Amino acid sequence: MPLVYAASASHAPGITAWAEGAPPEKREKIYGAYADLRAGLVASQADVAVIAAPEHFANFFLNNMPAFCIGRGAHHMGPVEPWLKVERRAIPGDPAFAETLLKGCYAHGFEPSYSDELEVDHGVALPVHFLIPDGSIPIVPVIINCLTEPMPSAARCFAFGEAIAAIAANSDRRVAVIGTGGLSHWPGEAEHGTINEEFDAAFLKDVLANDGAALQRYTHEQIAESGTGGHEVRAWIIVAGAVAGWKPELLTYQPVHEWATGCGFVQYRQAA
Amino acid sequence: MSLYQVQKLLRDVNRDISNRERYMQNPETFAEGYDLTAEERAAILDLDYGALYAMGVHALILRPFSLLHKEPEPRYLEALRASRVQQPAGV
Repeated sequence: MPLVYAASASHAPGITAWAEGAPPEKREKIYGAYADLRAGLVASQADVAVIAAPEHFANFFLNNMPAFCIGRGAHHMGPVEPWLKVERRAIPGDPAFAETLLKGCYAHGFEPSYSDELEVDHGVALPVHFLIPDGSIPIVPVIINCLTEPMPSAARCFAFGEAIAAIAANSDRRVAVIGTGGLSHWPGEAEHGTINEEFDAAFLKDVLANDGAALQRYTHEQIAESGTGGHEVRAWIIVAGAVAGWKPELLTYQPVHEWATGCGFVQYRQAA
Repeated sequence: MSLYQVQKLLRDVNRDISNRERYMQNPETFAEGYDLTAEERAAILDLDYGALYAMGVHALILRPFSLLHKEPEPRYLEALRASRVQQPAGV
């Protein structure tokens, strides 16, 4: 059946690991956004959540770096980071829907990699900690190479999102799609702490207009203006590709210098 | 140049507990398992984050490696920024 839920959210590790480091008013707005996302996800009665999230060298390295990888395991252990202040656990997976998604991708012009034993880092585990704390909705991670060049283009990410939506529509499942990452940040780089608010505002404007054509036009170089971590906005573009005609709503945008990240949260309402 | 081998060593230490234990016991012996130039080997064993960054080590490998050594963020960033200043113009 058609997708039942969609959202995009930042996953800055500081949200849990260095929570006290951020100004309380910014922190509370971000926790409030995650609470709103959780309420929306629960209300959608989704029975599986596809989580599109970037690779951070947790699973892959330069000996083998897939553009997209679908996690087909019965569970996904994570987070890998002991310092994240998120309890490591076996997050329930959904091998059956992962298989549907994988085969559907092959039928829709994508040949993603797949793994029956993914581990997940903060990119998946942090959003799941807030959105599905009880593990009641299984997840299918889609790991994206936003890490080393070449990376999938904005247009391919958008098309990947379109494929996810089409595959969900042809299934009997109630599917949620959640993209995690961004917005601007330069994690661990000499520029660490920089936030490009101008880029974030322009990108959010395109997201909030649900302007698929504009989102597909972003070049690698334009995205790079949001930092090495800003490449993760590809996860947001995947979500946008899945929700043509839906109405996006900005829950909050907070540039949190203490977490070195422009943090954005968008939830989509279905077309009436 | 063997940037791949440098990053492989650091990432192996970051992501695999048994590798990490072997490295922490004896970094010099651990480094023998990788095809490194003398300069690369020295940068790793000296924990010279600036030199490693200048070689092109990815920050999402370098910063986690530095955290294993409890390197404070200000000092880590200072090392990176100093190494960038020393780069020849245009690089």
